[in-house]
Amino acid sequence: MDILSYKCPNCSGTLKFDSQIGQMLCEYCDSTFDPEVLKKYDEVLQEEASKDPDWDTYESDEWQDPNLGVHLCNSCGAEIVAEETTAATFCPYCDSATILSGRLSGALKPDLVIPFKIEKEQAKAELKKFCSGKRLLPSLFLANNRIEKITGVYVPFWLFDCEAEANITYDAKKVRTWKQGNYRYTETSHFLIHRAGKIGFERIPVDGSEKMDDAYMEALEPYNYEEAVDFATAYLSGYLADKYDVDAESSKPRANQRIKDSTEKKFAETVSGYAVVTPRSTAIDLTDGKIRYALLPVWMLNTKFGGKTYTFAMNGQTGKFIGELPISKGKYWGYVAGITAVLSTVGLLTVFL
Amino acid sequence: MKKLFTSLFLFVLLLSFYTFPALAANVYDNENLLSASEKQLLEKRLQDIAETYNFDVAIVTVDSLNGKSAMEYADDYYDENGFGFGPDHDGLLFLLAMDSRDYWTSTSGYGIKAFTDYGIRYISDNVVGLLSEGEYYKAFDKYLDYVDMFLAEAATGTPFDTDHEVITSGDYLFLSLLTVAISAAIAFIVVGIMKSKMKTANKQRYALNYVKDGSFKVTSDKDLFLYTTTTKQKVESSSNSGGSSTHSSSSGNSHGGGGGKF
Ligand SMILES: [Zn+2]
Ligand SMILES: [Zn+2]
Repeated sequence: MDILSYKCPNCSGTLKFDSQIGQMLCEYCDSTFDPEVLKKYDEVLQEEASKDPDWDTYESDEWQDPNLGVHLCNSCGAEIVAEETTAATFCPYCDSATILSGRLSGALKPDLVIPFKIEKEQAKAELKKFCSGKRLLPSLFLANNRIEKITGVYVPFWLFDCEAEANITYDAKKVRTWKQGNYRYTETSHFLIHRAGKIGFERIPVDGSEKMDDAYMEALEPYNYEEAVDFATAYLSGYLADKYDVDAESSKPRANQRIKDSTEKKFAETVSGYAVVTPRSTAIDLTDGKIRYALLPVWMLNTKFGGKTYTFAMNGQTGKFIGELPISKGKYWGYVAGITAVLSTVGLLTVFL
Repeated sequence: MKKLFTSLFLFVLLLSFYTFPALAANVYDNENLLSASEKQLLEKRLQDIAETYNFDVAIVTVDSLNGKSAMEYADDYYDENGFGFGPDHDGLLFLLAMDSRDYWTSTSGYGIKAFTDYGIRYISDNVVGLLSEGEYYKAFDKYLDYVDMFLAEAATGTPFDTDHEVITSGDYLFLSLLTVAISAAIAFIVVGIMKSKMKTANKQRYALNYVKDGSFKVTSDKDLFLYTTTTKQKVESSSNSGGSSTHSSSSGNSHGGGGGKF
């Protein structure tokens, strides 16, 4: 009678079979359970644990082109690849003007590239649009900023493909309340939910540049990969290209995290009709992991204000503009005080009149 | 000329005597709980109330209710002594019976409208402590403070009631601080939204743009019912409808009122 070894799903006490009612009985919390249900419950909970993600190692392919040179930033150490004829006057990452030129050696050849589609002029216009209507922006910011410093950079990305196999359980509750006499009754029904299945991901980008803030690059997504082409040095003409300094191996955890969160979200969406759903256990196996190396187009805009560099970026393919603007402390507290004063006045008048 | 002035002065004096309902010196302290000067002070207050609101207030202390209930005794005392102004006998009477330690407020006419069941309970609750301590003058003085305050409120058209409760200065301070705190919280939320628009460079949590078409497949879905728990909670029936409940006294007049033991 191995049925006697079940644990109570409510309080984890050991259940006993009550032959009179033909049910499993918990002596600790007085719950009764159908033995058939408990059998299924145990089956569901016997799910396998997650294995390590199965990613390929990236096979590198060296890139030799006598016309390309490496520009090295004295200030932040960025290695920027460009045609020898492309004048790199300042660093697109740290706004520093000291850039040295040298010969290219041993850079990685990208598998694919998405060519620039949006012009420099649009980046200028988008920055103006981005600043307009921002009430917390310091008044001097627009007057002082020199937005002519705009660079087109091909940013290195690792693209991750994989299949995810998920095995997830949730605890769920349905709640029903009703009134009878002087009492309000609350009935809570407890469920164990199990979902298993598959989902595939294609070309999740992870930024391979150390200097480039991951948040900036993820905010520029999505890119349309339909327009990606095989790499040719000709695409670099007039633009800079960053040399990757975060390798594929180090980029895997970020890809894994986004795959895990996305898979959990997709499966959680299939659980509906409950008042409360809490994940109980999640096992996600990643298989068929493939990694590719790509250069994606980004317009970089830097401006110094109050001794700090503010960076903006525009997706060179779609024109999506993102960034961070400085906040005027005076305006911030002015608005807090002003709104508090107006609302308090209205509130106090309502209370006292 | 001087004669004319004197007669005019006398006329004005008489006129002012006439408009004073000087008869409103209604402190019947049969138990001698008050000193002569305390009694005078209270009578002055009753006169002021009578002048301001044209409303008759009587304070009565007795030894025993003589077998009547406090309500009956107060109502009859009011009717038999002809208290109250105007055809509806607008006014109220506050009775203390010392041997049974009963107190009772009987209202009549406009008093029924101005002093709802809620109002009488509110005033009683705030005065009963002083009565229990034997601070009779302070208790009556405070009682009259409330009578003044309730009449002033009733004059605006909305007497204090369950849907229009009394707010004290302590409540006002609390409400003011609460209003400012809520306003500040809203201000921080609004400015917080403004601030969040200053930074759009944020990480993405999901990668749902990169799901392969048709790759999402659920191969097993089980929703397993386990057990049910039921809890019950007592609910208080709220039947506080507000207003004044009235009854007829032995003389047939309509009275409102309320009271208790001190
Ligand atoms: Zn139990
Ligand atoms: Zn630099």
